[in-house]
Amino acid sequence: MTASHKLLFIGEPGAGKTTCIAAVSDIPPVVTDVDCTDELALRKPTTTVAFDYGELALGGEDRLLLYGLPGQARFKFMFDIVREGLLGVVVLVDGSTEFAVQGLRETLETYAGDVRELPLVIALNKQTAPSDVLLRQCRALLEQYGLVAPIVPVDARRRADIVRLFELLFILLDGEADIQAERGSPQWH
Amino acid sequence: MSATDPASRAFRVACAHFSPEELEATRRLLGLLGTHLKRRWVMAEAGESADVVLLNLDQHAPADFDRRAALAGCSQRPREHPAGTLHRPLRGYELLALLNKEAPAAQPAATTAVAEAAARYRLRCWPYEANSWDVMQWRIMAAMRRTYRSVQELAAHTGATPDQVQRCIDAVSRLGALERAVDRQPAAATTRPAGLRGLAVRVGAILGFSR
Repeated sequence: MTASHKLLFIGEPGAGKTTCIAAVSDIPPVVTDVDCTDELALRKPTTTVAFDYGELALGGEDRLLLYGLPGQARFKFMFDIVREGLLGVVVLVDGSTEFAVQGLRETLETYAGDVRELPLVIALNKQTAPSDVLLRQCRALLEQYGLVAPIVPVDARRRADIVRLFELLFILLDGEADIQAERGSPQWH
Repeated sequence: MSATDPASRAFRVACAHFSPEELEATRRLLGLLGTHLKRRWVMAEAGESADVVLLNLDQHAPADFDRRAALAGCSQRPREHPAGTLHRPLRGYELLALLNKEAPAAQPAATTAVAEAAARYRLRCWPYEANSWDVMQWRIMAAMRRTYRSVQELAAHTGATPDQVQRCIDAVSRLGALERAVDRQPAAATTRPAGLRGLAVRVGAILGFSR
């Protein structure tokens, strides 16, 4: 019997979703990047306009499907496409910019209701030693949206950092397995 | 009155992670405050139970103290800790306020032990400091991320010993990241789907983290 499970990376443009998926995917990530035509071009030449996609083979025909979704509200409809069988969510934040908190706020404003009942990790990318101020602001935002999640600094280019995110997600998943079972989703095979 | 009547017996203060000099200073402070205290307070001697434990939060080592006692933290930087944390070195007026508040509330040990056994915990937030903790502590925190659970329930859920769970709870509590409740219903018995652990093991084996 084939089983597919999903993990989702959500974040603002440039937060590192594509890089995260590429770090662990068995296949070259499928990306929907186009040239930036607005002020975003100052920060990066291209941006994701639909979703990124990668896969991790689990043996047999089982796969872990990896999706990357932009954090902006206009892409929210795509969450419904990946909702079924979703195991957990990583919210990526570009910690190197002055817009880090603003980006996290926009992502949480859009997705907090959908991710509240899922294992959730906040990944501060491009910031190995976040300031106390940034951490406090991120934590305050999580509390504001009623979310409890680890905030982890990562370098999305480093596979070890992404593996750590996966480990945390599965620990969170295990920690509330009974809740997930009562909810009836996702289905375990 | 009997010797165990709370109104007549001496209440005891224990200190965790205090230097010998700080212990002596606390003992002297208690003597100086004696006439201003509503009840008689003395330092707990080795092996004695305590009504209040003063915990030095500037020492991060696990503390071994009487879990039935009221716990008060003290630090050189109290503002970096939860509200109610005392200054370290101790200030007389703060200790006076604490002990006069705790004395009427102090109950026979059996009563507080029952209340503690009924206590359930849930994370208020996931402390950033926990990023450097071990995987078992992550598991314990994960099990109380969205559900109030008792020490026994957390131990059963995670496979940790009750002592490990209690140390984790103490550490999270010191960071002000824990909610405690005594009127919660027991958490539902863990019915972990067999496939979940299998999936985690497979992903862990592929990516290189142990499960």
